[in-house]
Parts: sequence; C-alpha cells; structure tokens
Amino acid sequence: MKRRVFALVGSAVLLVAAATPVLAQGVDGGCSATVNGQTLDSLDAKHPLVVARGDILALTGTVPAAAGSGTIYSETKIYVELLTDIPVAEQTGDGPVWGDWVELPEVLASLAPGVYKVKGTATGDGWVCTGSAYIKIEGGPLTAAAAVGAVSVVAGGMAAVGAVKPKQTQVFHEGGAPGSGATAETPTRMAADVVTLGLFAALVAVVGFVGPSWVV
Amino acid sequence: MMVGIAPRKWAPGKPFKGFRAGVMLGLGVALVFHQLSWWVLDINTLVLLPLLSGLLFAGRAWLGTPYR
Repeated sequence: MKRRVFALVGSAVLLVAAATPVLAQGVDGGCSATVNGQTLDSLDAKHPLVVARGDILALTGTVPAAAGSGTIYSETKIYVELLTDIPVAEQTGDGPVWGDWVELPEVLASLAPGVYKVKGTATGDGWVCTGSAYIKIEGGPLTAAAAVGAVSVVAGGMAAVGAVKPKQTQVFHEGGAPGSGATAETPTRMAADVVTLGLFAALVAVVGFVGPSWVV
Repeated sequence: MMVGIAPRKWAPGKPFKGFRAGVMLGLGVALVFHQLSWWVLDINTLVLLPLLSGLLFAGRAWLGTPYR
C-alpha cells in the first residue's frame, strides 16, 4: 500500500513539473531591438550574448509603425529575471529610432557567472513592446555559488539517507520464532533508493527540459 | 512445527527531514547546473524543483526502511 502511494506521489510530482509553461523569447509589439548587432530572437538560451564586467554594449531599437511620425518619446526598462524581475537599467528615447553605447550594468556584472534571462519593456504614447534575450556572464569554473551548490547537494544527500531510517524509539520485533528480531532488508531498501534517485533525475530533466530554463 | 517466511514490514522514517533534505538537494543541483551553464535560475529551478524534490524525498522517508 505504502509503495503504491509513493509511486503515485512520484508520478504526480513529475506531472506537475511537466505542466510548467514554456515562455516565449524575442520582441513583440511591433518594435525591434539589437544588442551588438544581434537581434533578440537570435540570443536564445543556447546562444546567449557572452558578456563580462566592463563590456560596452551597442544597443539599437525602433518603435512600432503605429506610433506615427513626429516627436516620439519612449521609455525602456531592462530587468534580469531571477525569482523576481530585478531592475537593471532604464533608457529614454526621442524619435522612431534610438541607439546608444552602454556599459554592462553593475547589477548584471555582479551576478555569479552563468546564463541569465534579460527582459525589457518599452512604452510610449499608446504603444507597449516587450522583449527578452539571454546573456552569459563569463567567470571562472570555481565560484562561491558552485561551492555552495556542491555542499548543498552533499548535505542534502546525507540528510536524505538519515531521514529514511526509522526513529530509534521504535521497537521492531517480528519473526517466526519467539524472541527473534526483524532485520532490515538491504536489497529492497536499495531498490527503493534507486527508484527515488531515478525519479529525482527525471524531475531535474523535466523541470529543465520542459520549462524555459534548459540551456544545454 | 510451522515454518514460513516472515512478512515484509516498512518502518516509516522522518518525512519532515526528508522534505528538508529534498529541498537542499534541489537547490544544490539548481546552483551547480547554473554554474555549469546548463540552465538559468528562475522560478522553475529555484522554487519548483526544490519543492517537488522535497515532496519526493519526504515520500521516500515516509515509506521508510523494510524489515523482515
């Protein structure tokens, strides 16, 4: 009974993970934008813009045709997506086309090396455009974040092994002859552990592959 | 004299500790994979994965250790 419930819970966990929506990337609303000559559509998770601290980026953008002609004011806000949208930069434009050389914002340069999703919203009189692209912040292979992650994996694994053991106060006597004690069935326990690790690996693959997070 | 094989019984573990272990494992994997540039950090990898991992390992801890 317990094994069936555990199998159902494991399957439900995978189904929930698989239901994660996939988010679009690029520009919509009729605007266009380029960074260092590359369109936002081309800067996907597998082909991010590689940047480092102090880099100067060439930004260009156009407002939608529906904005009309004459004096067109626009305001563009840039965010980096983590748990929430963290403001990175703000740019104002005057006219249908704008461009500027911008140093990589300090907020981005201070993040741990890795791939990040950067989003932007441009607004004007009667129009709104949104866009997103991926950047990769360069850094060495050994970082504080990698060390913290590795320690967390090891500690979590050890804690998981300890969590499976029954409480010491449980007295478990079961057997054929009077006075005999029960012994732990190691092969069965190992099989349950292998199934759990397999479900965890599948969960990692599903969350990463189905959602917008996967880069490789 | 009757001889038989004793039935298998599962002694439950500690589900809350299993949940905590699963969350740590999920967060650790999220950080390591991000540093390997295998994925980005967002709500799926920072919240969904650790929570679901916690539920998975809480379930395994609840299942416990088999005895015979």
